[in-house]
Amino acid sequence: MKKIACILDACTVINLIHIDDDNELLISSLSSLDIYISEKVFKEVNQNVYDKIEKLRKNEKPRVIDIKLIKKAIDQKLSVFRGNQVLDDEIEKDFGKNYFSQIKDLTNYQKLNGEFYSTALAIYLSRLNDVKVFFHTDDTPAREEFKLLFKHQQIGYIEDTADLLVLLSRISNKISPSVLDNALSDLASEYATEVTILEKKLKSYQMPAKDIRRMKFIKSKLDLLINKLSAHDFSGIGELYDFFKKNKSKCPQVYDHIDLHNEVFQLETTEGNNLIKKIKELRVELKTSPLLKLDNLIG
Amino acid sequence: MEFKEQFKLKSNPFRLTPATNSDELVWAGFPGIKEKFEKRIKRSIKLNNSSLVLNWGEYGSGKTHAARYFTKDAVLNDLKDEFSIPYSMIIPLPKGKEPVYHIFTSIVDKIKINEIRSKFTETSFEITDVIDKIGDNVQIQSILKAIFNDKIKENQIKKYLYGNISNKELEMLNEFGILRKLNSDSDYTKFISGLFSCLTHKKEIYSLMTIWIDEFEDIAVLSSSNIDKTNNFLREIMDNTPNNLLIFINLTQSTLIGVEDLGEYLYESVRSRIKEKNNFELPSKEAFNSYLVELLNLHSAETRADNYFPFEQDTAEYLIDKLENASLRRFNDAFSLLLELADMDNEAIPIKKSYLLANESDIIWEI
Repeated sequence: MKKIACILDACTVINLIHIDDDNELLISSLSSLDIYISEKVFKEVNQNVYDKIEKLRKNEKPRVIDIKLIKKAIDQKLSVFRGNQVLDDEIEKDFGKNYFSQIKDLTNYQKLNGEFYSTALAIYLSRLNDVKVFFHTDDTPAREEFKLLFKHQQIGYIEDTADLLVLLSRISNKISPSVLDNALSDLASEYATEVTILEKKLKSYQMPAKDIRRMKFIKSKLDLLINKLSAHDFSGIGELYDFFKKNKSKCPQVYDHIDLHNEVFQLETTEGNNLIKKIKELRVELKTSPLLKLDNLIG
Repeated sequence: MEFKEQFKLKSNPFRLTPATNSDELVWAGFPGIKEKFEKRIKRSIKLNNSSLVLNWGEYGSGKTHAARYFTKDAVLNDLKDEFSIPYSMIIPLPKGKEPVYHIFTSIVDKIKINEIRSKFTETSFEITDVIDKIGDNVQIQSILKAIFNDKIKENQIKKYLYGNISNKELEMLNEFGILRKLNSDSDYTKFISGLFSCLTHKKEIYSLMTIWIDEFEDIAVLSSSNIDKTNNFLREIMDNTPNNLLIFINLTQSTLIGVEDLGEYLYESVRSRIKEKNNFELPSKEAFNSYLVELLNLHSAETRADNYFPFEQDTAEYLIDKLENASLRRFNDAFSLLLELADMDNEAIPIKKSYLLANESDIIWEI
């Protein structure tokens, strides 16, 4: 057992896979931590980690060889995480068959998604090993939802992928300040690029004049979403996502765009802060006030 | 929609999607900025140096339209005088992980090899001699020679450039001195600058290469290493193509990036090469008025007595008033909707102000 236990959500694993370069400094440094991934999250990672290749195919004209190389690199990095998976059966063996329904009642969380199973895993690990755990997810709405539970139940803390990168830099000599800065910049770029591509696709959508009167309510919501994306104001975008999902049949093109770039909606925040802004500020802060490592303190 | 009969227009002049027929791509109003572009292009056609120009403005202010208009052969033919025509293209700033490769691919997409070969059959110089003097990379020189060599099929060389060639097919290119695939940013940059130098040699076939890099504001979402690569590309392409290259950078200002933030993303070595900045300001009422009259006139299907037809003058003036501080895109959007709704409702033409007032909330959107 190592000193720091981290549970990773699907977005964190997928981001690490995409931003880590061929040297795999980030992923290899994870061995300094106790990493856990729930069975459900691992399935989500498997389902979504190749989406980027699909987007690449749709948005750009990649070389056949590039696609093969990208897929091979993803497979290779994904295999590293396989051993961190904790099966639901294992948990049920220790805590009983009704463990997950007990947690469902406790959290009152309706969606049985990766965030729910990660929270259940966090409670399991904290009780079984008598430790505090870190749950890393970039899904801000989920973070908000479980924040109080983590505090009240003394489970540990919920942080994002940027926090995990800084932690890796603190404990691993392989992650120098410049490697950390590049990784943070790559992480911000992953999200900012999605926001920009979605914004441009939505801006280029033109509602036919014949539909304008009938679909006025859709047009005004669309304009609102575009404005929010272009200003990086992510408050209330989850509601807009739900709106377009509900009205999918009336405006399928718009829904297709937002569904393809659904990572954007993880950035929703109520505090005016968001992951892209946070990373920008964090990079400046780390330059003016570098991370204190053990080596800096000894002799 | 029978625009011609009902509205006495060839087509909807306010269409927001790019015109597929280049004849429909016209310039109306805004004489100041048009003249600035004309002067810059004319100057670069005549002179030998390479320049970088920054165009900036709000979303929908007409930067992409300017790029499309000034890459039209008919427009460039009018600007060239006794010189040869520029070779022009528009490329978007790539957002992917390999920006230089994607710029290279966008350029290769637009290069018409057979057309180039036929134009270079009768020149006062031997293109192979010119290529021998470009840099010291024999591999790049061989690829450039292959571009002009009609023994190699256009498809084969394009496949090679895209990197989709098999080893067996590559072997077939060995006899032309092509022994390996292109595989680094340095390869792509050297090839592009070499090609530009060949195409504009002595300004004989093409007087100038004009590249419009659209959506440059996306540099703000690139990772620091890709910002690095994009800057290095721009610097090297300007260094390696000292003559006959004109690059326009289109930057849309937003809350995330303004012209004053450019220093964060564009290195001093590139910024110092910006020779001119064109600001696409939000139009005044007078500018909108002249734009409207000229645009309607350019799309008119027959001679008209009334400048504002198919709108009554007070209809047009009311809408212009309402669109104060709007972008050109919103202006076009509103007039296009007015025209299309009137068409749908079989409204009497010219369109009256009362019709506009009754439908105002469908036409003017608060954004």
